[in-house]
Amino acid sequence: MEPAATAQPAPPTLTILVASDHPTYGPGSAALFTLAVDNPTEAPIIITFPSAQTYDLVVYSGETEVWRSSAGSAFAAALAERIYPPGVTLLGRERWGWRDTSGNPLPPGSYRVIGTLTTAPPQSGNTVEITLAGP
Amino acid sequence: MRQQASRRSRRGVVLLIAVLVCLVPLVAPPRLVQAQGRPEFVEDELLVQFKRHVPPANEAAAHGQATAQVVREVPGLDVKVVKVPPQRLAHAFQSYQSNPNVAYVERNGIAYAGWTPDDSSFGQQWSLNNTGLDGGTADADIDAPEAWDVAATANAAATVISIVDTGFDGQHADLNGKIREARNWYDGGPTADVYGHGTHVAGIAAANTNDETGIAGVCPDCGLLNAKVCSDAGSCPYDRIANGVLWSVGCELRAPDRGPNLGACQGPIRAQVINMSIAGSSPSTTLQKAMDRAADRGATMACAAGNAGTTQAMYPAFYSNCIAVAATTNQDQRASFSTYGTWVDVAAPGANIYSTLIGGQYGLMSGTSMASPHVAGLAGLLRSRGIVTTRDAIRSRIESAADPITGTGSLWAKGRINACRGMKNAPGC
Repeated sequence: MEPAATAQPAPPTLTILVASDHPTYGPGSAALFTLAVDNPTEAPIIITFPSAQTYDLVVYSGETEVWRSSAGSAFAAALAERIYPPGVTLLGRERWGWRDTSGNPLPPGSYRVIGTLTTAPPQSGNTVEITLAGP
Repeated sequence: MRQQASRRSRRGVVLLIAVLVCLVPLVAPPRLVQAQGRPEFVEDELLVQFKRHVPPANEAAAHGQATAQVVREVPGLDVKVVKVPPQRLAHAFQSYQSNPNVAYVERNGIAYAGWTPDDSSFGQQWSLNNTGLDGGTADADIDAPEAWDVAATANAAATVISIVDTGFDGQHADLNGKIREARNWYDGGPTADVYGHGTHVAGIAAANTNDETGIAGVCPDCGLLNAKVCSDAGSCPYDRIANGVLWSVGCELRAPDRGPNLGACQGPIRAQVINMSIAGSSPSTTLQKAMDRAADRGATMACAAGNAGTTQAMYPAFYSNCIAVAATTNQDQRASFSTYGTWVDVAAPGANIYSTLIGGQYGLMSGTSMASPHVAGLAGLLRSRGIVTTRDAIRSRIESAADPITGTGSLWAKGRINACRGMKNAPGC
């Protein structure tokens, strides 16, 4: 009797990487995030995205989402293939001025930053902890 | 000399064809020819005309010999429509043909509504006319040829579709001459499409049609407005979208007399239909207000529901003034990537859609981006032919005339759009 299905090797995946330019920020200084993907294989990886959007960056205070880089933008809604060569490819940079998505200033404290590759389903990467110091 | 030979050979060919035409019913039974999956003839009927002054008794004898019954007639031509068992059709045909009292006999053909444009790649546009090729389901389409057959009424009006997008290639052979105005609301730069999205969208909605070139657009008579609101990477900030929408309806300027409200719009209505093949995950009061303003100015709007493959609300599609459009495949199923849910108004073809590409090219793209301009094109078609002309009537007609394919009521509210039913306001397309 043959097995109903043969196990397939998992397709190669990309890892999304997020880094901040500092771990701690003083009042009035914006945080700069750099997003990249790492292709750990030796061959290019082709990824199909559901739209022109390739990544999203979300900042949390505790468990609450306070800012999202894609808020306030729409994206061309056609499937798009992108090729990532072996190694690290820069996706983009985002500057954040410690305001929530509605534009309200946020209080000093610790925040978590998570980058997401906006594939279907999305793939999240590492978490970066940053702190806004008080005056 | 060469002319004579040519004439002689032409005469020979004509003679040969005549002989073959006469022989066909004798050597082979008439067969049921399928035209695009539909019969070309009524399978059990013939049309017979007797010579003048043939006595009724002789006519009856001829019908008897052919085992046929007269079921109808064309009195003005004295032509009888006779019914015979399908398996006896060849015999009956031959019987009438060999009867000296019969002037002629022929099969009863079926004509179908549906002007087919001569665009060279029309056969690849399954979304407009699905013949079942490439694993598709015949008629899982919007029935565009049948819709184009509907003549314009006295209410026909010049109609422009605004493509609020990444810009489009107005020099493309299939879009050339379509563009009415262009403006870059993203950064004030060129209006060309670098990302390669808006050009595909524009072609679906209103490519030059019946010009022996490339593709046909859903609305052959519509003009196009190029409102570039996205970056060359396909990202479209909401403020730019709002400006593009407002510009489309002449409301982009600050009114000098504005009081508690925004005041009257200062510019001309540039487009009566607006297509937004763009989607974002966050709501926006600014975007919603711009769309409300466009609706107040009478614009019909179509929006891509998004490609999340979930029920997540996407914007601007989620706003009620826009017809939210999901994507279907060539088998009339939800495309796996398409956002869905009862908040989505209608479905339209959106998987592997053939249309215009930048650089004068053509190719396939998939997404609810491709579904939305089918709806915008239909809105333009309804208005440009004067079938229905107001925003509410156009939307109502598009939704009520949609085919209730599987998923209607759960994956989308109203069904997959059908341009023919929309234009005719009747079933049977």
